Amino acid sequence: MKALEVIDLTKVYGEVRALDSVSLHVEEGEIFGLLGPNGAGKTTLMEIVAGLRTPTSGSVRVFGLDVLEEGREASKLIGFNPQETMLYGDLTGWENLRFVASLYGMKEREFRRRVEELADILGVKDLLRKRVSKLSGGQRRRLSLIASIIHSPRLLILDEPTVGLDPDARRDFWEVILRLREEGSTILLSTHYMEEADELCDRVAIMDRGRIVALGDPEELKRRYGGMAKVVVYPKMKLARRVEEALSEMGFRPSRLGDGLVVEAEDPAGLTPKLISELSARGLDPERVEIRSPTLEDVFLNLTGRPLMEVME
Amino acid sequence: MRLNPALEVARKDLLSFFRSKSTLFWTLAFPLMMMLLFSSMFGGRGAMFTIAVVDEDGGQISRAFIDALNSTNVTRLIQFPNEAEAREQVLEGKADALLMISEGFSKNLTSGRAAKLLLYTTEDPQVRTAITNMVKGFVDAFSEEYRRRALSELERTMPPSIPAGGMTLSREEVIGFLETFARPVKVRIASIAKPEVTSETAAYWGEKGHWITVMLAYTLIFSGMVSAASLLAYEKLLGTVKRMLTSPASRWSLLAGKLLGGLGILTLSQVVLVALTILWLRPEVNWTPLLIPLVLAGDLASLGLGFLVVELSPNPKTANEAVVTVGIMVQFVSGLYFPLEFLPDPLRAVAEVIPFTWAVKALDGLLVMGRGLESVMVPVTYLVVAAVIFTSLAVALFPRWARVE
Repeated sequence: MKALEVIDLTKVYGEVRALDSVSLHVEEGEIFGLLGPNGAGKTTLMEIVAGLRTPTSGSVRVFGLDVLEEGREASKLIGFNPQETMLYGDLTGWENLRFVASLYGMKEREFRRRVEELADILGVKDLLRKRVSKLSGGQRRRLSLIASIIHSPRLLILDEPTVGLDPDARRDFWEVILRLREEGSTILLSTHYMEEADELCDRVAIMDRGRIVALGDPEELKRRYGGMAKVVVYPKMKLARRVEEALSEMGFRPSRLGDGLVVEAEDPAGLTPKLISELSARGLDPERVEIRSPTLEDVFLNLTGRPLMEVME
Repeated sequence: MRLNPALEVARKDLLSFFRSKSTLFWTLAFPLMMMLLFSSMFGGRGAMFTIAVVDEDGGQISRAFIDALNSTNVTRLIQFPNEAEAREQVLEGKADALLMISEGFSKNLTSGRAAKLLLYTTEDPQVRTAITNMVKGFVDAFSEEYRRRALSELERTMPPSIPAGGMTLSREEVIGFLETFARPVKVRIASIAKPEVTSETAAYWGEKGHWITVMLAYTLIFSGMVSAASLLAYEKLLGTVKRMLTSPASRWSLLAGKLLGGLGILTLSQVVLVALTILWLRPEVNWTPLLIPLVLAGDLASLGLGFLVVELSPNPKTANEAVVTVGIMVQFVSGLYFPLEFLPDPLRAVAEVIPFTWAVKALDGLLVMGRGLESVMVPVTYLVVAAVIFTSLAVALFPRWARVE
């Protein structure tokens, strides 16, 4: 069954088309990623699905329910976790969660059971009696996630869930997301961390300027739009120029990437030992050599002509 | 048992209120500080001005005029047999003004001529303006009442038509003609040069019991609006409104919860403030159950107005500023800190249409003057109408305000 169907969705603010004829669907049990820089339209799309905004045209169905016509019924199936943590700082974690549970008309006993269960999974049991204003950013994010899933939604919408978290906290969060999927949730998440999408998502839609520029399995997208793999040679600093000349003489067109020199290769595993021995024979032993497979970042670059990080800035 | 969203909204707002130091300061500490300041400055006398009165007329109407002026509780009247003694009182600083009711006052009124009063005040500009405005305001009201009664009596006794200079005028035409002239009592203002104004004669408003009115009215005017603003505006600031709007809870239950929470906050504040005022000042007041509908109607009107201002403001910051501005203005023109007679005529006209002015009058009427049901019927009705209008508009505008875009 389709958990989410977005059909020809357009949202216009004045002269800005925040979403331009976007169509996609998410299967039940899938983790679906929306990727793209700020302003790509990810949040607008998610807020329309969650019922916070009305589209200019198009339709959205959640498990067959039209979110515009049957918004109240649809909202029972959706858990929305936006970028802000949406918690009251002067209330404790427990009080915040109780309030959210009341919005979904949960029973007191059911609320208590669910909080115990989720606090265990997310490791926040000790934090429930503390005021939210005393918690760290990561702890608030966990609590906010519990608030979004306390009513056991079938579709969980996570808008940039790990932004601002340190790498360890981010990895912990990924584990929680995978566990929620195992328990049967369908997850729609937005991120601008390509690594996050690669690690978590079954399928991704890459968005730019309100449009979907590519959609599919991350591996398939990398194969199709990621270009060739790359071998990155890191020379000793004093030999950098000579190494660049040597690579050119060998018939490559090296480009610079930080301290490294990048060479594209169809067979990077075969090319790497050859490169090392050629350079050694010329007395130009490199410090290290890396093989880089295409990433979703390369996909974005190849499809839009702009590097993602540049767009983010 | 299912958790009820409206009750949980109210519960959450009450918890937040008691945990917010700044909100507690403005709703509880600030009005108490005002009370301590004003009561220590002016504590003691029942009325705000002392007027020496000389009734040279001694007629029935002049006596009725003095009684009516005395019953306003704004002035303390001391009668003197002659102008010289009364003038002495003013010069010694024992009275703020001298009011002369000249001989013929009653006769002039009953014979259709203008009756004149002479008011001498000190040269102190503040006292002079205040007393002049107050006496003029009272005389206008007295004049109007006298004119109404006189014309009504004339209408009752006059034949249906009167011949005049070759033509016949109907009774209505004659009454209409007379109405354009009728302003029976006129006041002339003069000054008495006085060496200095002592603190004894400085303006002072209210019995100790008026401070119970101030505490209740401050809460229902200012705290009500400010609470309403913070209850609604901070949901947008925190982004928590998104959590509410993406839930299946109806928007009406959310707003009902907000109203309930606001009422809880105001009621608790009022109980605390009144209790502390009683402990501090030990005022003698007339407690009556009529206070409950009056205060409740005022609280609802104030919360409704606060919600409305927030919903009409472009953003939460502007909303808070607008509510504080409106709240302060309403406090000062509603007769909370000084009587309405102090206000210039245009501002007084504005004050009279503000429902909270009626709340202050009714609270003083019940608490300080010991009036009964009749004194609260009009204000309560007015406040309930205001509460219904403000709250209905707030409810109608809530979906528009609650939209994210």
